[in-house]
Amino acid sequence: MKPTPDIAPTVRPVEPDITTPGVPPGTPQPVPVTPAPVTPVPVAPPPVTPITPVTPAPGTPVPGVPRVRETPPPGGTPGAEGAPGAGEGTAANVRELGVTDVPRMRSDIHCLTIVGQVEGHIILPAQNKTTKYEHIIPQIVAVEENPDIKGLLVVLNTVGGDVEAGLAIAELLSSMSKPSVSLVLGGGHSIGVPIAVSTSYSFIAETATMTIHPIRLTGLVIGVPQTYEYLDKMQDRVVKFVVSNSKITEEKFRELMFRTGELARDIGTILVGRDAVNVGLIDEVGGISEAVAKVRQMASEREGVGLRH
Amino acid sequence: MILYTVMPVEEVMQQEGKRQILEVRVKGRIIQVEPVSPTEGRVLRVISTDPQDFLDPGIQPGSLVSLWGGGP
Repeated sequence: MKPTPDIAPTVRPVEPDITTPGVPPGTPQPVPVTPAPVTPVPVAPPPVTPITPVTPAPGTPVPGVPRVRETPPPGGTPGAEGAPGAGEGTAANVRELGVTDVPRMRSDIHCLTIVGQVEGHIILPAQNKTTKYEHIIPQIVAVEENPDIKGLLVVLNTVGGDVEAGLAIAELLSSMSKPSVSLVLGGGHSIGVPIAVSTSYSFIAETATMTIHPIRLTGLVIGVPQTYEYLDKMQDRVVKFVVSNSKITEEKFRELMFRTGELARDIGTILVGRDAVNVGLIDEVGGISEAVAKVRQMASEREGVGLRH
Repeated sequence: MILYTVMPVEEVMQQEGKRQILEVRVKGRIIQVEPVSPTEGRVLRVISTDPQDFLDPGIQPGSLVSLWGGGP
């Protein structure tokens, strides 16, 4: 089984390995003398009677025997397969592309969508649309690891969610070495704010909103005085992260967080599109084309300075 | 757990009818499905960062996939 997100290279064996069955180990087989595995190793048909081994000229496919992926001949040159330099090209294609599977287009920019509630250590009731960190975290790791992926686009439309899970995702995104660009569509509220600012560059759609408000007591925490200190500490973590990952000042962010009169049920501020840019939270107003162009630009700049992946 | 969200907590936490959501792996991708029978599920969401995965007609949200053996 492949690891979660399916970003493994395009090695997709779709056929069972047909080289070994039917060929007993003792079968005389033509052993190529040269290690250049450009041609598929011909497979002798199952011997009915001991006959002279079929020795076709190199490069000639054996009639009736399907072209197969390269297999090292028994007792052949160990290490020839996968050895850099030797026999790359055709053999690599045969090996990489398999036989019948046409490789589908693969994107070198991947897209992480953070929608609904960011779910933490407790599974939320099923009517919630949730983004689970056990999905997101391995995906970020895979994007960081896979050399075929040049950058990451993070699309947010979230109402917030678990502080720990949100901060975990934000920290992972901000510590990625590959370029990442976030795009806030619809809403990037509460814990969506640190996630939106965690990427290398951030966009917000003209109509998207971001709500900045204090972390409240949700009823799941017992109301003892220590709780308030705990909430304060959690809030400080969010504030510090946002301030250090965007251009907004701590004073400004706290002022927005505790502003009265804008929200009916709560204190806080709703920033619409350009407002988020004006306070320094988000870098630019834009949409998908700007966001993708930015990832591509950052990815090519990064390759330009000779950094690996 | 501390929820930092604009949604009222009563709304987040209310339990309405049991809805079962399964995660299955179809063609190497993780897909959330809602079972419609013991063998089939309706695709709710594809969980992947590869945008091309979302173009696969066999796993479009709303389509049915087999819960056993990887689907169509």
